[in-house]
Order: sequence, then C-alpha cells, then structure tokens
Amino acid sequence: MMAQSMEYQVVRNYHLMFRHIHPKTLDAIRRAKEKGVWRVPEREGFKILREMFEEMSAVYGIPTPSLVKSDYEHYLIPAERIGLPKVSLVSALHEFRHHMQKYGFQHYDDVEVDARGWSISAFRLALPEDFERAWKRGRIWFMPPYPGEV
Amino acid sequence: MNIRPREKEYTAEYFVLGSVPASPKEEREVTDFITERAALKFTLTHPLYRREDITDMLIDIHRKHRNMALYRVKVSYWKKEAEQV
Repeated sequence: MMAQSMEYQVVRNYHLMFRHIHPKTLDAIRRAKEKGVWRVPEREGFKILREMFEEMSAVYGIPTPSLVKSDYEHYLIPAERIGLPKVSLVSALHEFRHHMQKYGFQHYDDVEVDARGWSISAFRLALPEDFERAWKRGRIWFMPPYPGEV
Repeated sequence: MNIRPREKEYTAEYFVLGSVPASPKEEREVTDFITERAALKFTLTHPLYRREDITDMLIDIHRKHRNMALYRVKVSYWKKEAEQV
C-alpha cells in the first residue's frame, strides 16, 4: 500500500476554464432547472436529465447517450452509457462532457480536467446564482474554497 | 500484487479484466463488476480516501480478445463535503 503523491493535488478555477459555451446548451441546463430537476422525485429527475441530454446532443450533432441509475457515477465509453447514483445536474454535465470527448469535443489534454472545467463552467454560465450558492456550500466538487471561506 | 495506478489530478488509472457483454443485461452486470473492482483497487492504493470519495469512473476497453476484455478505468476522487448539486 502507498499514500497518494501530493504533487497531483492541484485545485483549479474550473468555473473559469470555459468562457464560451453554446447558448443552446446553457438554455437546456436552465430548462432542466425550470422543470424542477432538484425538486421532483428521483425517477422524474432522471427523466429531466435524459431530456437535457437529448437537447444537448442535438446541439453538437452527436448521438444521445443513455442514462441509468448506478452505484457509481460513470461513463461507459463503448456503450455510450452514463450512470448516476442520484440526480445531480453538475455530475450529469460532467458525464455528458465525457460523451462529447468521444466525438472529438475536448479542449484540455487531461480528459478529467476537461470534463470538470466544462461542466462547472457550463453550470456557472447557465445558472450563476445557483452556482455561487452551491460553491459556498461545498456542493461542487473539485472547486477551491469559496473566497473568504476557510 | 502490484496495482500502483497511473496518477493525474485527483484521478488514478486501473486495469480490470472482464467479459465482453452480449446483451444490455450483461452490460449492466459487467459494468457493476468493473466499477466494484476498480473501487476496491482505489481503496487499496489510496488509504486516506474512502470509497464514498469516488466521484466518477471513465471506463473504456483497452484490449479485447474473443469474449474477454481488459478495461481501462479512470477513477476520480475528492474529499466530499456534501453531495454535488
């Protein structure tokens, strides 16, 4: 056994890594919120995320990935299947970015950095107030501490 | 057993041997098997983290022979303060 090397523990301003994301993608994210993705029962929440994937896939001209409930958040590249343990908008965006990467949409070399940057930036651009609130409450993973917070 | 992973920013890469699914039902079973094996490897190589700190797994086929495949799994992790919004 070994402890992980600390040299990899980099925290980035993921929310600022993408300044321009397709306006129709941002609309799809806003629509998911309007439909109540955080309020409705889980089954309905998954349905809203599927509809969001459908809209966003059309924006980029790629097939729509499937979405299933799973113990671990994942993207299975050969089957183009996304798994989520619960309804999370940012997690859904993160996994959708992995799906986009399969079709050549990738800006940063590291696929995970690219997916974190794209999903968190998209969330900030689409829903800035929700983003600020979530960041402050530690409800966005991989983000540095909120300014003024320890 | 040497399972030292390749590390990047909060991401460790592992290889898991599994079957190639022939149906959607098998696909679910194989995926569950792969994610469980990868999670186990992660806990062995990252004693400061818990299984619950895994945020994401990116799964691809690295090599395939007949009905068996070597899957490459990128496991991302983060000390979670709360569930993601």
